[in-house]
Amino acid sequence: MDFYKIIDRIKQTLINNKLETIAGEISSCVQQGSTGSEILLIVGGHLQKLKETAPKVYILIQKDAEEFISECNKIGLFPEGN
Amino acid sequence: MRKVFYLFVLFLFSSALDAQQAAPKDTAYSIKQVSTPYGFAVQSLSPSALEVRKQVLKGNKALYRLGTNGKSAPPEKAQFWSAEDPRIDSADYARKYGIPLENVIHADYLVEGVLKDSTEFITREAPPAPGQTTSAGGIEVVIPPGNVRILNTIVFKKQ
Repeated sequence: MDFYKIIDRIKQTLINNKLETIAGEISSCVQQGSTGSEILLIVGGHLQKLKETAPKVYILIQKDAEEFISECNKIGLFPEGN
Repeated sequence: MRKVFYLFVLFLFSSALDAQQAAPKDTAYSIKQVSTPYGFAVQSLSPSALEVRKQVLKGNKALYRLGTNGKSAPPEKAQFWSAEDPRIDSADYARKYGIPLENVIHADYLVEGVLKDSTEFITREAPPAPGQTTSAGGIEVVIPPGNVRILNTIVFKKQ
């Protein structure tokens, strides 16, 4: 699974809906990580947080976000929003 | 619900392994996980991850972490470390550890250390790098915050 392809799709959907700031937050999550698992947990945690704090935004990316979380779970990573 | 399912499957697998072997002191086969502010990561049962686990347990395995000022978690709080030195081959390191090459190129510093307390950590394969669909096999060491004794910090000079 190419996780970064899903991340790119999520960012593109957000940009297409004039949500560049949130797309930028996702990019920032990727830049924070020093290893791949750290990046996936930070991005996944941010997506989980959006589900709680910005449900209308989350609906736009729900399919890709759920696929991302599901693929993370398959490799032993369990993102949580705080 | 899915999380519970995966943990249950992992539990069944680890129980089967436990049943086949005398209980070792380091029960790498029982469920081990490390919590982070963004969720938790689970121990891999692959031979390479378990081999690195053994080396870390001996206490002499160097751990490495690249960081970018203002973006990365500071070393004293950092939880994700690698078992390989990124200075050997930056592009190969990015591929093996599942990170964009930019994260390596733009890093401001590299920290080297060893585990302080060997009771709490996991080892696991890094996920696939951008453009890849399978892991290139870099082994990550995930620890609770502050569980690394820092030996060396190298600050990179920017051109």
